Amino acid sequence: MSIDLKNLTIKKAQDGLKSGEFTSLDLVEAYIKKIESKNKEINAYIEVFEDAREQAKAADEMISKGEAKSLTGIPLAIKDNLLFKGHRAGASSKILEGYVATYDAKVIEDLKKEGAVIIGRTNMDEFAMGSSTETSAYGVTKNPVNIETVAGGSSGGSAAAVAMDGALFSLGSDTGGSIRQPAGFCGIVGLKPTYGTISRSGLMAMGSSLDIIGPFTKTVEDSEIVFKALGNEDVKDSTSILMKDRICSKKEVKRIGVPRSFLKGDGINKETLENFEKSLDKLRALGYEIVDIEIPLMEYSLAVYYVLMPAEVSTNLSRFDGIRFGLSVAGESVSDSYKKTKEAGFGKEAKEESC
Amino acid sequence: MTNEDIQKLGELAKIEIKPEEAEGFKKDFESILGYINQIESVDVSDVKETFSTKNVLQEDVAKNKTGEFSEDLLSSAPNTENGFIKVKKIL
Repeated sequence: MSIDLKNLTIKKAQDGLKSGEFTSLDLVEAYIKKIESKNKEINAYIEVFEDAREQAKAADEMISKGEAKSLTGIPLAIKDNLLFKGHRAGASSKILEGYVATYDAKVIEDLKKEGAVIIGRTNMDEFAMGSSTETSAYGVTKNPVNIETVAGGSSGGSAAAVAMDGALFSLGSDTGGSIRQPAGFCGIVGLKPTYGTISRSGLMAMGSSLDIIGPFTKTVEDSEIVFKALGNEDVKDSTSILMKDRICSKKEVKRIGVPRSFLKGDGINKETLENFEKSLDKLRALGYEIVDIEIPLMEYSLAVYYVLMPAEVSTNLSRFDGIRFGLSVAGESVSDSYKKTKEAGFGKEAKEESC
Repeated sequence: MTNEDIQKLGELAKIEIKPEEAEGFKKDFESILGYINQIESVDVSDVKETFSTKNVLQEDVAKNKTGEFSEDLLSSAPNTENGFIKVKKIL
């Protein structure tokens, strides 16, 4: 069976699965074949899970019983910092060598309920620290659009997996651009949802006051489908916004603010700027009001980020000490063991940000 | 910053830093500190707080059976003995 993966979207796959044009197992086989031919060059995946086909069969059963939900049978990839019970997870760090997740992240729980098929885990900057997927212990991820360039990061593997047609969608995490930037580099749609709308339970924490999980998809419509399936409240994430507090305005006012200061200077390509202005014209034609806005303190935000992020990273990475999981290098005392384990297991970024 | 500062930070974070690494760390830290210094120049005296914080707590009740996850969690630990995690001497 030949499925046109290049033009396939979640929306189209839902129809194909429903009408019986193909099964979830057909889809998974097609993606695994694509991964086998492409991954050597791109290095988007660290691992394809052994039970991918089993998951697909279970999804096909749901479909045949008429119990299909929006993501039933849809193959996806997850970033290596998400916990999927019984499967390896390592945040692309040597320090988590051999670690097998002991519970499911909330997003994985929700994906399982949906009957989605998690086919594998993707490469990333070590502990999500980087913007190019070059700090991974598993090598660089190349950009499927142009293999002379990087895929971006830190969720570079998740972006490349979708861009090379190695999954219909994928999950990444974003602390300071780690979904948005690789999506841009790879020419696909990346969504950084509003903080608090998707639970981080089971996501290896980097900067807790900034971390959020989000999807990579080929279309905005697909992004909405994934967000609707995963945007649930969760008692296990204290920053989770309760559903009753989520304001979804249905008012007729359609106003979009444009922070013009971002578009000044040499930081933006002329063509990109023209494209941006054209998009604004399209929105105006659709009846949106476009308003220029000022965010006066915005120019200091990156400096503030460099105060908050390393402080939170240092706290969050201190748990990787060789006692409860992962790599362990014995020293003379417990303190000496910590030092030796971190020296051997952490890459340069992880060491620096821990200090 | 001095190399001693870097070694002290390593000591606090319990990370062994090789002398050849310390030089690179020093450069990186100095550049970050220089960059974040610009925050000092911002006048925020007329900026109002726009956020509020509150505690989010769960009821303090046991929801799981004793030992329900022990085996899974212990199997992740590199060194165990008789159902305990084993570590080197602390003192």
